[in-house]
Amino acid sequence: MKYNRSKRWRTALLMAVAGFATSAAQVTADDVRVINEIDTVWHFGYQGINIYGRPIHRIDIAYPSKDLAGNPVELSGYVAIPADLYSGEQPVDGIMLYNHYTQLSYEGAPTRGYAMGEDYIIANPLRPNYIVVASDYYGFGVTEGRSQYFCYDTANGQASIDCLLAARKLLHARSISQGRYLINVGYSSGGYDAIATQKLRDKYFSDQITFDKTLVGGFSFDLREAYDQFVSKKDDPNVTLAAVIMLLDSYNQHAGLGLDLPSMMNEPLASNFEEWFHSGRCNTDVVNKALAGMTLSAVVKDTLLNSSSPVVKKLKNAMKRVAIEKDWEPDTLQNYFVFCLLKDKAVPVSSCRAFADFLANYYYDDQDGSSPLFKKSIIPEKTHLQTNFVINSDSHSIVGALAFYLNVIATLAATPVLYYDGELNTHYSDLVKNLSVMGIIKKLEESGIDVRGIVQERLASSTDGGGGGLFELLAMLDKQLAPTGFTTLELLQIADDCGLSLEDILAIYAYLTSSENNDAAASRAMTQKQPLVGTPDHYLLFMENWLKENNINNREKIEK
Amino acid sequence: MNIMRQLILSLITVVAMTATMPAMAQNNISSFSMMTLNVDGLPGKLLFFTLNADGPKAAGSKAIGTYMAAKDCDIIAMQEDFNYRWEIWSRLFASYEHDEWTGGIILEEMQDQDFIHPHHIKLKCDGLNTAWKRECQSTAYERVAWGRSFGKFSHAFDDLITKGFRRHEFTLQDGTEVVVYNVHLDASNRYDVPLGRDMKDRETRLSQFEQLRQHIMERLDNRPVVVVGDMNCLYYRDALKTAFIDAIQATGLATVSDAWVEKHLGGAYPELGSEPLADETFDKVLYINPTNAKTVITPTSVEVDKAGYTTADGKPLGDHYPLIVRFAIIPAGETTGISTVATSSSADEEWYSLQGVRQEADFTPFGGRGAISISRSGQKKIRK
Repeated sequence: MKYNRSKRWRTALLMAVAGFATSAAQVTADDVRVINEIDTVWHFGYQGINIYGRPIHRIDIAYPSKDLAGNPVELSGYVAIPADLYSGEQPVDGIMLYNHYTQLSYEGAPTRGYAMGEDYIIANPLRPNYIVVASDYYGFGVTEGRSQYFCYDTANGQASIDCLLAARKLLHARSISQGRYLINVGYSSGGYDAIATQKLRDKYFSDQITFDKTLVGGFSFDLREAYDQFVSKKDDPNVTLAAVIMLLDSYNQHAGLGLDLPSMMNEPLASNFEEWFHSGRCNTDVVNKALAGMTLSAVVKDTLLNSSSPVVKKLKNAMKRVAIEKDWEPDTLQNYFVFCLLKDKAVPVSSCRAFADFLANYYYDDQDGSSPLFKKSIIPEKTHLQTNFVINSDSHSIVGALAFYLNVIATLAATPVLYYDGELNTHYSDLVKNLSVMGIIKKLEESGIDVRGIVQERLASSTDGGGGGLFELLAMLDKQLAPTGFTTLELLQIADDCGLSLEDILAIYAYLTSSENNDAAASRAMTQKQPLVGTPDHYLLFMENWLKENNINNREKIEK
Repeated sequence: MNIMRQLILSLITVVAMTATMPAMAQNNISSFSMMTLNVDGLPGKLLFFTLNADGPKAAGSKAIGTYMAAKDCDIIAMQEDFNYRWEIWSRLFASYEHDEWTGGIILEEMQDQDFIHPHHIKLKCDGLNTAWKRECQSTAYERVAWGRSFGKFSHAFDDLITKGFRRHEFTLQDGTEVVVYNVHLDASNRYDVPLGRDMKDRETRLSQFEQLRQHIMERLDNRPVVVVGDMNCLYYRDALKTAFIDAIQATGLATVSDAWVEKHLGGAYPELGSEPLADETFDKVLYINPTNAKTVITPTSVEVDKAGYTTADGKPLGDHYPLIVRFAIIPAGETTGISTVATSSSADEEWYSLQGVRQEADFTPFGGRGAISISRSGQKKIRK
């Protein structure tokens, strides 16, 4: 994706016009209805073991929004205020716009009192002083009975944005502080909705809404990629199936595919399809338990799996038509955290990774050449694109959700500290600015550790020829990594996710395997035109040229 | 007998007073002296955090107290009078009164702070303290916090405490009334300035000067006003002159001068954006004479005591030098016969950063980017 400046301006103008139209359609304060108000308690714990609790004053509201066709619709959601904030005992630090994860059952709607992670975030011992705003989304709450927009276009994003605007009106009307910070959060399908929210914000609401951070995890950004991944694991009994069926159902209904889905399904799914997915009486656990141990290929017919089938083509065309990345120029001043388990069995990491790559590869041409705008880094706040795809687990609901929510908790607690003065804390910024693997190596060497000596000694003792060639090293690593379940290529992918490109790794390798006592090794490896075949420099140049030809993830250095 | 004794005593008194009031008494002029000093009173450590490793601490603070007592000034305005209050005061209590001490950076006194939400930590202390000779009287006192402060976890951490100013109405020994403001403005971090990251610090100081100006002008009567303290500003980078000095003068209600500029620079204020001056410090004494004043004050000597404010082995006692100004009090309209002195003593080879903060000899800014330093003799040197 590449934009030139003139196109960018044109697009910005169109966005402004569209934004005006959207804003003009917004509601007045009178349009926000309080439908319920309740004092409750949220807990921090797991499966009924509640370690901490925090009283909450929850205000359920009905607010005006619109569907994808632009038709007005009233939706519901809540504004949950920790009691100590509501009473004024504690100051309000900000608002967390929470996009809830997958729900099938009507009982799972936020206004039905079913907290989905936000309780865990707010009631933990760090007690973030945030007000939580969450929409029920279309199909739940006051629109119960209608078909939900599961991972479909920006429908739920619109619901979230409108819920936030309505909540602000309510808080303003009641003279309740909204604090300084605004955080956008979503895990699983909530992650997709949080990204949709972000897209709408960038396109139409940038004058009203600025997120201090958008945290998303375990979601599908490129749904075609996600569907392909599901199909590639069609015979894997460990893949959870409710989400993929919901995806099929959502696109069938909202994209007007006109498919008779039950006829394309096997038992027990075919006969239970209506009950499980349309009655509002079942949640995803019911479905997943009923289908536990079954493979995708066992529960649906081949017409839904075969990439050449007309049905799959129609499905993918629909996914392409409403893809989130379509017509989205991200606001590069916004700040992201993107998370996924490395082997997530519910949401393939590659479809989540696609979002990080979408941002990382987003750039524009200016007079000085290509300007990369987001750069991946696993280090918090080093860039506007913090990533974490390194946890080697497949447990989407337990390990993944727990790790994600802990990250959210840390972010909510740290944001008012790190950004207290209206900018990233300069001490922290200086600390992480030059933090890199090569920097760490240099620091170790400065403290007297002969890193190169250690590496070269290991290489010499581990390879037959003692030469320590790159591919010998890769083979050796593969062998040594076998017990951990990683391959070297996976490790390289993880490194890339963390912001360490292959080129960086090769530069480090060249440095560590060189006997020279200065920086010349790394720089020489970058500039030498005809290195000796078989030397690290040879591999480096080969890879650099390959990357250059393929224009992969190293634009910044290529420009230099 | 009693009459004789009274006559003799009266004669002795008159002779003694005549001997101690040389030129000034003949011109109907009295005087008072004033010192402003940042006493560098932050503790060396707090829990695991190093706050002021090279500060004077307890022993050095006693020496600072001894120094101040020896200088015998009529009014002393202290800043950063935090943890070593009693070490300093132990040397002053015999001759001085003082206003309130609002506390230090002391863990035991932070029990009411919300450490779960550290961004809400705000210590009540201001670090200010004003002392005056027992012969003087403070007839009114007010403490005011800055309306705007910047830097909670960066930019010199100013917002962690309740910085501001203190206002006293003094009646001096000779009955003259003066108003004194003891101020401590927001600082710039020494790492931020070379990197151009101190814009918000400067904006904040500007707003504090505006707040101060407003406070002074709302209460201005016919008494002279002296504004002293650690202002953390330098004329080349802070719009102190336009925002405070010129703005007050523009009202036509008073004249304002910086005693150091008047005596050391002949009244020529450094331009905003000009080259930094070697000798200018953050500590300043500004004085305001209302146009309807019956008596006016004018500085007769201005001393930045670099030579005297040292330990036995010649090291400075703290990270600021005392600024001592002696004012003559003159009936309005009489300004003749005043001899003025500008003194400055220094060991020549000590180093200052551009911000006027004294540096260790091996100081290099964060990241090793190098910096321009200026020796006290005014010679510029580049340290890489």
